[in-house]
Amino acid sequence: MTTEWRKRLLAPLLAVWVMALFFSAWPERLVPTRLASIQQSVHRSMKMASVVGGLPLFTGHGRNRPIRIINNCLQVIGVSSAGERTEIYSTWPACRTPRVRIVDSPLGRSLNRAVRAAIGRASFHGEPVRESAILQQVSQYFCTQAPMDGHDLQALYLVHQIRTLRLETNETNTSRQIIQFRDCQAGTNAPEEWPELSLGTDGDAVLSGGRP
Amino acid sequence: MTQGAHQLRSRLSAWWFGDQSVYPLILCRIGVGLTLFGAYLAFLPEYTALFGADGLAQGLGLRRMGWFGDIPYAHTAAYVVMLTSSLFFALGIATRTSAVLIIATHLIMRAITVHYMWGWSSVVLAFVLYIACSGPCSRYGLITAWRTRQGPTEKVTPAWTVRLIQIHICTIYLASAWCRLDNSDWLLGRKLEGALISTDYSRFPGVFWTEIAPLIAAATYAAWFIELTAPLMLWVRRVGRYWALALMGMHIVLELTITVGWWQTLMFSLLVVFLDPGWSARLVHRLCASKTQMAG
Repeated sequence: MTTEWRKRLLAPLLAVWVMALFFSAWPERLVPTRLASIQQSVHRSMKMASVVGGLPLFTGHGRNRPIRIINNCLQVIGVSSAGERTEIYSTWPACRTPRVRIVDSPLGRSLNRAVRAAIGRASFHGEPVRESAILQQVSQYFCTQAPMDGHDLQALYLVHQIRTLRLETNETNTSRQIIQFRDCQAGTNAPEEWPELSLGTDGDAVLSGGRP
Repeated sequence: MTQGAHQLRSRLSAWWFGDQSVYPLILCRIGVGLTLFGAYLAFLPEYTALFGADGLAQGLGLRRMGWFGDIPYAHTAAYVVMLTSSLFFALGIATRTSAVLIIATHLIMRAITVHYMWGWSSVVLAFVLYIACSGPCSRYGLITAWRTRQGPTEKVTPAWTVRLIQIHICTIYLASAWCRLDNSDWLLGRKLEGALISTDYSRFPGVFWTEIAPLIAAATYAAWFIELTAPLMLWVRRVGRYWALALMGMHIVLELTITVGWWQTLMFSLLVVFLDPGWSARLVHRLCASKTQMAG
């Protein structure tokens, strides 16, 4: 049994905590406008401390999309000093949708999310992707890792592919573009020298023109 | 104070500060500890690629950590401490110290692994804290229990530790389910199908789920209904425990079909607090102690 002095000490703390939990978890749309900013700050602070009251799950960040992402793939194509191109990383082999995925790879997930965060919605519409620090860090990571994996690397391309299904028409659309070119030797990006990209018949990316 | 107010006060006091069976809390501790252990162990095969000297986290996560990121092997030490303390927490070895270490290292690792962690990592520490607050639960070590075949000597715990877990579970369902009311994907029953055909979430993305779309739509509505009503139904006497079982079933099905981090294992472990404490007692005794110790 909790002693009386403990009850007196705990009661206000518990009351405040329970109110904070409900306030943080209450659906945003049901919060009066005046309190919305307070709720957001409470939620943000609790989230930083990993004690948030709850999260909106599977809501597409509040957007209703008539399309589904059925494949989201990052390919890294390395170019050797002899000009030979080889795939050094791919989320799925040849970016083809796998039938089964039992284990989630933390590295694959981190790369995919980092790239998605960097390119935003540009990839959906095939719009050019802006230069970003995240993409530089991802490409630099592969520049450093590839020699250790036995690749003779001069430069590399980050290629992002996204395949969507339009619900009303059941049509699929594949968008594939180079989102970064990095000269590993110089440690710089050279966007003006990006090669052209065409789609291979078996689902792989074919690069032509440009460097080297 | 009127008699009604006095009665209400004493009932509230009993609800918050009375005694509750410690057994569900012991199972929660094992579940939450193993969830954290599993979540961090999953990094191990790719640890060097993620956290090594030239790993991905060097550019993406550690740079955000300021001076901490500059200490050699600091994140490796944090990782080892997390693995050890989460396992100790599950086993009930130095439970409270383990809880403090889990809290510190989880905050560090979560900041480093910024692009990997899922939503479960934003709620889990509260539950570690609630469980650690219960003295009787913290003091029941599984290693000693296995050796001596003894159940916990203290069979009850202050109710507020259990109540906090129960209330927090309800706020999780409140936040996740009620914001879907104006989402057309949920209203049309298409959300689960979307997750099942997506390589972002599905464990079987290549399977042609659209052929059984009506069945999946029915499952979507059923799952949503259970989650939507959970904050109320879990408290209804006689119904609550079955609602908890339905939610646990839903989490098992979701775990088998989609991947959203460790949400399902965490929620499955926590929902035990809404089940009959007698069921938890039987399970704990089956695992750790002789049946004759169960009385009380």
